[in-house]
Amino acid sequence: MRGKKKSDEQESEILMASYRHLNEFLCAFVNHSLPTYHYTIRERFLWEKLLNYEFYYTNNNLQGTQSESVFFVGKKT
Amino acid sequence: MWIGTGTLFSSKNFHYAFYNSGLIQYLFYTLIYQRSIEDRILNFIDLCSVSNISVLILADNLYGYYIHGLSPHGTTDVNVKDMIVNLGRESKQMSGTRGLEAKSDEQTFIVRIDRRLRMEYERLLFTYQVKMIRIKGQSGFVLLFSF
Repeated sequence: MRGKKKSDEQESEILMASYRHLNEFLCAFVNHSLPTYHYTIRERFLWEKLLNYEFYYTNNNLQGTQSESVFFVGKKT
Repeated sequence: MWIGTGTLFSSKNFHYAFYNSGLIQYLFYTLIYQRSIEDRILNFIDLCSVSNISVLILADNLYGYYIHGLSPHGTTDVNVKDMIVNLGRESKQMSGTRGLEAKSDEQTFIVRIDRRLRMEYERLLFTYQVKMIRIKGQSGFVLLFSF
C-alpha cells in the first residue's frame, strides 16, 4: 500500500516536472531571461493597422538564419 | 403606392439595410455598450492581472495573441484584505504598472513567434503529453483531449 502511494507520488512529480518545464520556459521567454530567444515589442504602423497585417522586417544585426519574435501592441483601432 | 415589397427587397435596398444594421450594431457596441455596460475583454484582462496569470494563445503555427497578466504586487495568493490593500495601492499609483514593458499599460499583444521557439515549445509540450498518457493511461487521454 505504501509502495503504491510512493510510486503514485513519484509519477505525479515526473508529470508536474515536465509541465513546469513548459511553463518556466514560456515565463523565461516573456521575461527576456533566455539568451537564445529574444523578442521585440513595437507598435503596429498605420498601414499595418489599415491592412490588418503585420509585415516582417529582417533585422540585419542578427546573423545567419536567426530571427526573433515580435510582439505587436494590440491597441484597439 | 410605389414603395411595395418589390422595392423594399430589391437587392440595392436590402444591401443598404444590411450594411446599416451592421454599422448601427458596431457603433452601439463600441460607443454605448463597452463604455457604459461592460467590456468583456477588458474584464478578462483585469481578471488575468488580479490572478497573476498570463495567457498565450497560439492561434496559428507562428501567430497568436498574448495577454500579459503579471501582477505588479508580486504575489496574488493573498487573502481578501491584502487584495483590497493591493488594489488600493495600485489605484493610488504606488505600485508598478501592469504592462509588459516598464511604465506602460499595454497588456494585450499580437504575437509573431520565432520558428525555433515554436519547435522548443512543441518539444516541451510533446514531452508533457507523452508523460501524461504514459502515467495516467486512459484518463490521461481524456484529460488531454477534453480541452
